[in-house]
Amino acid sequence: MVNIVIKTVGLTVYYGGRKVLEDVNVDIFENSISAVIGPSGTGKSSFLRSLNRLNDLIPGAKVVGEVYYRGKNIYDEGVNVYLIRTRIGMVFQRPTIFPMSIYENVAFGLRINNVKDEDVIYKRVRNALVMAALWDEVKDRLEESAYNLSTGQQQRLCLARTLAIEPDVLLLDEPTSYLDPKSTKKIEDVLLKLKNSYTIIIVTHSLSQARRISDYVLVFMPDDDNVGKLIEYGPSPQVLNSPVDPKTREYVEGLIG
Amino acid sequence: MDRTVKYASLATLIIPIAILTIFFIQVFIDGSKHIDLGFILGSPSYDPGETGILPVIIGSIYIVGLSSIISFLLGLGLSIYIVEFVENERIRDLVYFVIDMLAGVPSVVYGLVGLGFIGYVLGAGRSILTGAITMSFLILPLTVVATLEAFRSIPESLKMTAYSLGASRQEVVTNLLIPLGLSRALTGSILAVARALGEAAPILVISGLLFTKTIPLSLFDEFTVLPLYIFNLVTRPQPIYRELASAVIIVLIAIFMLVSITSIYFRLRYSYRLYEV
Ligand SMILES: Nc1ncnc2c1ncn2[C@@H]1O[C@H](COP(=O)(O)OP(=O)(O)O)[C@@H](O)[C@H]1O
Ligand SMILES: [Mg+2]
Repeated sequence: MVNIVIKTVGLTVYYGGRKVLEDVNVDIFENSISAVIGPSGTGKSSFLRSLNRLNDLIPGAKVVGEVYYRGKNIYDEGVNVYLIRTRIGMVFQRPTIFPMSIYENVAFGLRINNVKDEDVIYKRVRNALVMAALWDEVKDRLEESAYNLSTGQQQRLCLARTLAIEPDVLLLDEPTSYLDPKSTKKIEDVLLKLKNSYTIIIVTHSLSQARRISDYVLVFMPDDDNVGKLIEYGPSPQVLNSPVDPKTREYVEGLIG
Repeated sequence: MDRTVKYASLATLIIPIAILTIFFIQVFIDGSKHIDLGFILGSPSYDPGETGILPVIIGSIYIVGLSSIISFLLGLGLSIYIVEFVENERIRDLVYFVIDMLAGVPSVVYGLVGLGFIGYVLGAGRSILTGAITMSFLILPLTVVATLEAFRSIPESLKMTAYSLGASRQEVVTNLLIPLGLSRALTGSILAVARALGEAAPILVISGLLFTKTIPLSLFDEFTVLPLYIFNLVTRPQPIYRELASAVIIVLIAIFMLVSITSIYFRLRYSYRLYEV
């Protein structure tokens, strides 16, 4: 029996009173890659941000419903939000590089989380860079500004920075949409390896990416009032090859989106 | 028609620059011959040939240095509070409004309030301390604008990233906003330093001295500043005093240039490139 790492119940998101995502009920399984697909504006990013409570920081945002992380509702009172965010890490669409050295970018999360021993920090920075398949490219220039890296390398640096704090779940919001095919491939290969020790949820604009790397697919579609809904969800081959919902069929055949 | 506009706008640029240039040349011709070590390191004297301005320079350095530091720290705290901790738009707008209003208050009013409250009610007297604290509030709107601008220039996405790594608000402030914004905030505050250096009215109210022979040492000593001494000199009828005033103006400008160059150095040395990412 596979473990359920994240379970949402009636998850609904509002911005300034406007409902943008309604009633998402889904189970995310351990050591799997779940791809979130659907047209833009259907609440895919909002969905991700409600899984690590990043929506808390957006003025006017309101999340209703429950999100269980390993059996505990992260929206319960008294939950340590900061701890949750270190367990459920996130990588954004555009590389979010700090204007610091390559090393300090990766060490940032460790320093925030009070890791003081410089040897420990170095080891974890190196491990994270190795896991993100970036170590060989940067090991001789860790003190250089991270801005000197290519966009593809910067995105892997962001991944390394998240990995350095040793999370349990990785949320990735269209991480390859600004990358060329070669850099995209590198990230995909890394994710496939990471799957063995992490649970991964990735929003993707690319159906072929979903085909290549995901085990499960979540399809988000707008309803008649333009509110995002999870309309279909299941193992990738099933959803992508023989979808049940007609809208999903149109979408995977390239007719919507 | 286009031409007329072009030349007219060119003239509005050139005429003020020309007037300023002529003024500076005049000041330099008049003043430079009086500047020597004796002038810089001496004390004011009734004999115009013997006079010096060390106590006045020290007074100015005290006032400018202290008020810049106090005001910068206040501005830093206030901006961080506004940017990171005020959730309510109304309160934020109210704070902006108050800062705008403070910027519009005539400087002599600061002097009167400073003397009355800090000088008499709190008992600091007509001292450097009273002058510096008053001056730091006078230039606060400028430091707040500079520090606010520095913190606002840090992209939201970087803050979100820090939060996503488990940072608390405090940690975002200390580990991200301050390291990234500090050099920009410092160099932005140069206008405030210039203001503190050139302001005469509130100090006239507080210190009441147009010149002093004793070098102020403690924070509770009486003092005067360069702009007041210039004022003192130009009000005298003999031409020699006008020349001495020019000499003091040169010193004032030199101090300002020193501060500017230091701040530009810091900007180049420590500034980070920030992109909207
Ligand atoms: N910070 C925000 N404030 C207000 N509305 C937002 C915000 N973020 C997203 N939205 C709105 O919520 C809806 C869903 O957005 P999003 O979650 O970004 O969708 P997707 O990632 O699928 O493109 C959109 O209509 C968008 O305009
Ligand atoms: Mg999105």
